[in-house]
Amino acid sequence: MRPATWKILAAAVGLFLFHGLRPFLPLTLCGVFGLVGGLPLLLPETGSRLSAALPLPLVGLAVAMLPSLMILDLFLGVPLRLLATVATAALLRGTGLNVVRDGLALVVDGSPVWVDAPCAGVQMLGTGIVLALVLAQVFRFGWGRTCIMGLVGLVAVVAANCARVATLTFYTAVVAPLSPAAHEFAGCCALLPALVVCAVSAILLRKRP
Amino acid sequence: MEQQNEVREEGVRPVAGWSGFRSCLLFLFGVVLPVAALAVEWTTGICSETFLDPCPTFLLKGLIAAVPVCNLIVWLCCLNGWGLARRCVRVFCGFSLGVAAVYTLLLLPQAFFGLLFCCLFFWYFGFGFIGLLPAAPFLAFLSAVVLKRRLAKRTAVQGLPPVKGLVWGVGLAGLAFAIALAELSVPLLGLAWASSKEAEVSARGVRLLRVYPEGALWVTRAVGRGLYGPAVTGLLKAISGEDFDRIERDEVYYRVTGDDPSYLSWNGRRRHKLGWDVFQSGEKVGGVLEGLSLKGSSYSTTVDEAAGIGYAEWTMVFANAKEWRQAEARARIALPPGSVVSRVTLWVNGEEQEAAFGTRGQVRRAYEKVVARRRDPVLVNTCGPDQVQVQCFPVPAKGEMKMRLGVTMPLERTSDARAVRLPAPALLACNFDVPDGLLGLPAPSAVTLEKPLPAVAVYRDATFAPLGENAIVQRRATTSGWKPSRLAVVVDTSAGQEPVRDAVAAALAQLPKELPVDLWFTDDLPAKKPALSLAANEDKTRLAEAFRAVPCVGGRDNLQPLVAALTALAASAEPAAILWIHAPQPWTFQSADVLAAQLVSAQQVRLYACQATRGACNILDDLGATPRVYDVSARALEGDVAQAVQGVVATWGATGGELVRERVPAAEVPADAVAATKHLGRLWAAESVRQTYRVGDPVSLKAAQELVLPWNLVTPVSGAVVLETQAQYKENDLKQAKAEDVPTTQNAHSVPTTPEPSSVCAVLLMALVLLGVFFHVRRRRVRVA
Repeated sequence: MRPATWKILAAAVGLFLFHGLRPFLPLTLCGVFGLVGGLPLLLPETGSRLSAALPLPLVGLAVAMLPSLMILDLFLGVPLRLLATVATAALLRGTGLNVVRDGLALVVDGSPVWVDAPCAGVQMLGTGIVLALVLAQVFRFGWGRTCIMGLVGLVAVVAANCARVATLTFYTAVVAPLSPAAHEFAGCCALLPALVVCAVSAILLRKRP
Repeated sequence: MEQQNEVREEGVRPVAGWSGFRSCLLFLFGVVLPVAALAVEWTTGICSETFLDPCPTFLLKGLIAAVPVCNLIVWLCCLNGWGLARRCVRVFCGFSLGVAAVYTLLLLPQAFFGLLFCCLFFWYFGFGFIGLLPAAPFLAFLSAVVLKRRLAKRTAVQGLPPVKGLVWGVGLAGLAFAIALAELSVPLLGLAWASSKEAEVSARGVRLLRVYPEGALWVTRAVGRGLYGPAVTGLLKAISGEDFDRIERDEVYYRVTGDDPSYLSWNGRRRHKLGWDVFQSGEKVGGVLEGLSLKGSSYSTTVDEAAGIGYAEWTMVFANAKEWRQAEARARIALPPGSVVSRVTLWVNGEEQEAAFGTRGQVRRAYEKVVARRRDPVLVNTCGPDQVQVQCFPVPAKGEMKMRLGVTMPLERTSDARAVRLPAPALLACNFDVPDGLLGLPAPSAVTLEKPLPAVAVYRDATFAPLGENAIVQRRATTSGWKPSRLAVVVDTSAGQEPVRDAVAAALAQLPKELPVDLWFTDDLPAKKPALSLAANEDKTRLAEAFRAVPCVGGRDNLQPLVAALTALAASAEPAAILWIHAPQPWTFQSADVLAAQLVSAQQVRLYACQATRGACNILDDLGATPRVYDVSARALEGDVAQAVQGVVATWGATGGELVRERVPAAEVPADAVAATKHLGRLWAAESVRQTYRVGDPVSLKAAQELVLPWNLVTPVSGAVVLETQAQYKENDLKQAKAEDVPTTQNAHSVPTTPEPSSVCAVLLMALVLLGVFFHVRRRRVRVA
């Protein structure tokens, strides 16, 4: 039986993007385009609803089960660190402190604090996205609501990470360096609200028809 | 016949035999082909690359371009019957004949082979028609001959009397060639004189060539190459009596232009950048390579306030834009006076790897062995007083390479010891492009200290085996510093000094008034005596005036006036100094060993070298570890020659300003000594090498190596190399520096960070939230039910 026209077109577009973007983007990202475009061809025919043919939460969770944290760290590690550094510098300047951003490090009133790789919040981001996808699958969200959940998770976790870095930097530079346990506790205190925001968003979205 | 002679419009009769096809052929060979040949030669230079340059001057280019123009005019006149009674048409025809005849004779062998090639290969997709290009002069000449006959026939058919003018045209062509040859004879004569062994004749030739350097380049391209090379070489030998080879060519090129001869290609063309790296894995920096550039540069410093010592780290990223060729990045770095390289790292597969330190020969052999296998090493060795050379290979095609250099440097302190001046290294020469503003090296800055520098500082470490129970103590000298009673200033007047002319003049004007000064200039002729001698307390601004009156052109021999000045100073036993202010010296007329030998024996003389513009200095390279040679170029390259000179002068006779570092038993350390970092020990080790090592003495060499190798420093007797794998280190009997031994601008263990929560906590939190959602949903279902 001949596959649906839109599936063939999607595969063609995915293939075109894979080859056409190779000189400009990393191969992994190009592969994502190819995968997304070609995946519908592999799924059985289930009528015209895209969400039934391709449940996004399941697909997202399947991708998350791969070593995706490593890939997230590779591509998003430095941007997240930069975002956290810039946001922290802005927040701390608002409190009247003398803050200088030197690349991915901060100097607060002469005391340096590094926002290095473990501070990027990639794990927190991964946790937030996985939670969003799990909730989306539990509540059987379609593509639209799943995307909204993902976005909410992303924004909430990134904001939580920025707040965490700002708080820890303030305390470390102005008061005293903290112990690893205190860092852990502060991180949990920052992550929990972000995950709760994801959960509340999922419940609210579930109520809408 | 009567029809053919029938008068048409405007009384012009057609000519028998002037068919469309023949007319087209004449147009093709007489006009189109010469234009095509000239265009191909102008854009590709294939004839000058392979045989000789047929049009090195604009006049000759014009003559060649005139051939198709004249042929076109005559062709149009023949076709349309214009100007049949005019003499100028015959003049054009004769001019074209004359020029084409000369070039036909000049390129006759090429024409023969070209036509043969055309006949043999024209069938292969028309490829053989390329052979028509070398035959273009011959075919243009034939076309001009045919056009001349057509013109005469056309005139006769019109019933007009024959018109003279052909001989005039040929004569004009001959005159033009005579002028062109006269133009070329100037550089030929200049080159012949320049290659003479007599100094005055040679200087005369160089001055003549400076009038017309492009012509000189053409002659050098013609020498010894292609069909006519031997003739030109023979002519040069006939005039000068000397042989002329490539080394002579490079020397003359440098003397005329002051430019680095390594930019000359094998056929004498001046390249903007080098396409091929002939100095790869060698000891010279060479010219800038195509596609290789500095992509990133960052610099950070820290100050050991106890000892007044600075430590700086300079991280560089090299990028190679070429798609098919790896490249080696090489740079010469001028260090602040008294500094030493104490750390070298290279990023291999994304990880920073520390260098291994060994003897100079050991690290160079390891480097060359690994380079031959196209793996990742970096090598750092000294290449002159307070200079190091860095070599990184390979910078991959379309890729980058990152390395870091750590420098321990003594800081200049103010008189109240409350502030220190942070100097910075400078890039002296490199084979990569450096975009403007990218280097990021800071301007010299003063750092105010929280507390005044202590009088005595000490470094001790009982766990460090070479030190053992001893300590390194730093204190101010109780005696006043060395001070010269006479000064000789040797000023380079090469073209490279022109951009800093005012700065050099300012530096000369500010020399100490109380010192007698002899001013020597470099020149095309050997300097036998100083250009100006000033007694003590005479106005030193006269030095600046004398320098301003001298033009800075070409490339000058600096070694000869240096030796002459040293000879004059060494005649007296009084302490003396030579201040050498110079441009880059990419060419040396002879080895500097004679200068080094005299410096070793004249122990009362010190040489201070000050280079203000970027480029390699082969003389300092040759001087190597010669004692009492100091390089203050790092400061001059920061932009201020006068400051660099003042910095040197300030150390002369300073009381209590000079710091002395010595190794003493731990029991003899003064009680008020303040603890300093290992940088104090590193500086002591570097200074001890300079005092211990004597060039050419194997015993002192071994002693210096044993002293310095445990400290992991780059000195005249040791170097640093980063290799790719442990197996390579083992193969070369080298050991990487340990992480705990290397200096850093910041101790990574002491700078706080903000790590995120662990994955266990994150998963637990996620489970908690999911549980909360589950209970919430279940409660709602119960309520609804």
